[in-house]
Amino acid sequence: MRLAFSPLPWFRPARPDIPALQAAGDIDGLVRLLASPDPDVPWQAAGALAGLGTAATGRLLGEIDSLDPGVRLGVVEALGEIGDPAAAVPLLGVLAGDESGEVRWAAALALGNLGGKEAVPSLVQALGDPDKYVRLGAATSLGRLGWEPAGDEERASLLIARQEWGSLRPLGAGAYRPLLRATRDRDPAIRVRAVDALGELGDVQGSEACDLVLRDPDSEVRWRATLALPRCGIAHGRLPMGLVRRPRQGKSPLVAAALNLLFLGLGYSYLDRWYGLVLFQVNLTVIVVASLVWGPFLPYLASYSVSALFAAQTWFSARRGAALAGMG
Amino acid sequence: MTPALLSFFRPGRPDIGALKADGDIPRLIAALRHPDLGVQWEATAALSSLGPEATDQLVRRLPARDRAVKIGIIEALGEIRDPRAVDPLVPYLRDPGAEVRWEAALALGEIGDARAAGPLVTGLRDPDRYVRYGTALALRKLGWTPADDGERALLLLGLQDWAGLAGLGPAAVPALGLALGDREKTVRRKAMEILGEIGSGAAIPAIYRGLRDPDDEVRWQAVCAGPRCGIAPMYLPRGLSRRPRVRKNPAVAGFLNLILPGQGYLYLGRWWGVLVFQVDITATLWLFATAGDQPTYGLLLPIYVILAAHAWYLAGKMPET
Repeated sequence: MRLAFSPLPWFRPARPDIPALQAAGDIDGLVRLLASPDPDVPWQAAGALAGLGTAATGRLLGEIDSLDPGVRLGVVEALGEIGDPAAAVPLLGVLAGDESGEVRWAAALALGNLGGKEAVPSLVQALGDPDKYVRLGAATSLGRLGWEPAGDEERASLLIARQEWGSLRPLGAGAYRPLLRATRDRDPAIRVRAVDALGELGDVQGSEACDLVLRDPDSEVRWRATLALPRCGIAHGRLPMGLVRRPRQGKSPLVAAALNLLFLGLGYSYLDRWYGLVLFQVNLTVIVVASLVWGPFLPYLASYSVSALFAAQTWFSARRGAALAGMG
Repeated sequence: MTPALLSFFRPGRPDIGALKADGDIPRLIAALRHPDLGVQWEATAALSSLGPEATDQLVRRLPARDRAVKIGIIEALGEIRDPRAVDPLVPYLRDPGAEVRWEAALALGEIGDARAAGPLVTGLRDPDRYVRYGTALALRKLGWTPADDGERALLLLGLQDWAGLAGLGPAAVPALGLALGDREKTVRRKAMEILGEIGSGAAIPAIYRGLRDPDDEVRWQAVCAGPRCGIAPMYLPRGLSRRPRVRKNPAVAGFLNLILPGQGYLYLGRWWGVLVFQVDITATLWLFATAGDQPTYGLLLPIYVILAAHAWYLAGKMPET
């Protein structure tokens, strides 16, 4: 321990003595450390728990539903290291249902460590997980369990999980459905590779897949789709209609101008200009003070005349900006 | 929900086959606005299957407000391949919508009338890469041959044939300079990389522009390309120093927090700035009502100064991304 006494114990808790806890067989103490904010402590605690062997299995299984993903991660790591077959069923539950991608990933790897064949169906299903790390973990574990894909579709899922895009082409139509799933992945880099691979396959089976990739929020995916789809027999002339439906990220000049007309300044705030709110406050203050002197009619009339000028300026400058932020 | 209400949100699939059999052009054009891309494609195919007899009607309906309608009609005219459509289509090469320009270029390529080549060539300089690509494909279809290496470079740029551009050597520099103005950073990166490969002194102004690029990777490529094009490494730091600063301005953050406490934090991306702002307004009103104006200013102004200093300090600590 570096500090025997910390003057601010809440801010800098002393480093726990993990080897001593392990030697004393203090399972509860080690489990508590899995929630430590110190990045080095949880993995050391998980290692110590694993060192306690099957004696710790029961207590660890009791924490597998902890609310803290850090604790669940430590529990799964330790269970994977211990390799007690009793942990297989709870780990299958984690793989299928945990909301944290990292915990599912660890569960996939732990099931490979346990070595029981009963995990194979769930791991095969995890090849379709929305998280690429979980897919990679499942592929690794399936390899360790000596699993062989049953058909082209399963083989394609395995190759996509390992991101071996180049090996997909010989699979032909069998790769289509797994690739279509990959074009919906969260990671734009995966979607780019999936679209490229669809182009190499030379078949997109209908407008739905085209619609999806041409409307992708990522500009690189849309561009690759433009290059890939003509290789799938979609005429070039059909693509603009699909691409025009893409999400537009630019701000609407009309909204900016309307905001500046009605609430002078807020149109600029909408366009991320820092001075928008200042202008809004100044305008309001001037109207309020002027209303005290001349009554409300004249100040509002004057204010809206000024706002109209600002709105027109906003309309033109925002349109210029929108044209620049156009297609991408 | 009643079926009527449901159909308002999710319009049913029109019977394109029946509309086509009736030759019902107005309703086929209406189907171009359908939310389903498959229906839009079917409607376009049905319109083009009506052949040259439909050309006049389609051309008359071209000046539509809806972009999907415009694109669908242009696509159909391209597939009908009636040369009478060339003159009406040419103005759409300058449409404000990039997809419309793209489709118009492709359609003129499909029609295959050599008269379109002249107006199409300007599309090789379009700021949008899709339009440049469509234009290059169309020109190739028309059998157009570039007059010189400069035009050849523009054609290669349209096709995004980077290896071809590198092979052209210094003649490709103006086209690559154009690509450096593209809004897509992957295009700018690639263009800068090729400029470095070519290593021509003619690229020096383009490299200075690249050093000011908002994308760091483009700037890095420019730093690598500079010495190969004959810029002394000594001069690179000055070029780079003029890049756009994306860091939040500490003076603005401090100023905002001084006059509108909390807004400085909001400007720095701290969501609780709006809470500080509201608490300040409430506290100011309450103090005015209970203690009068002098004590209010006396108490709040020093707090505002502290908040301003804090926002200024926070902004200064933020890294430049």
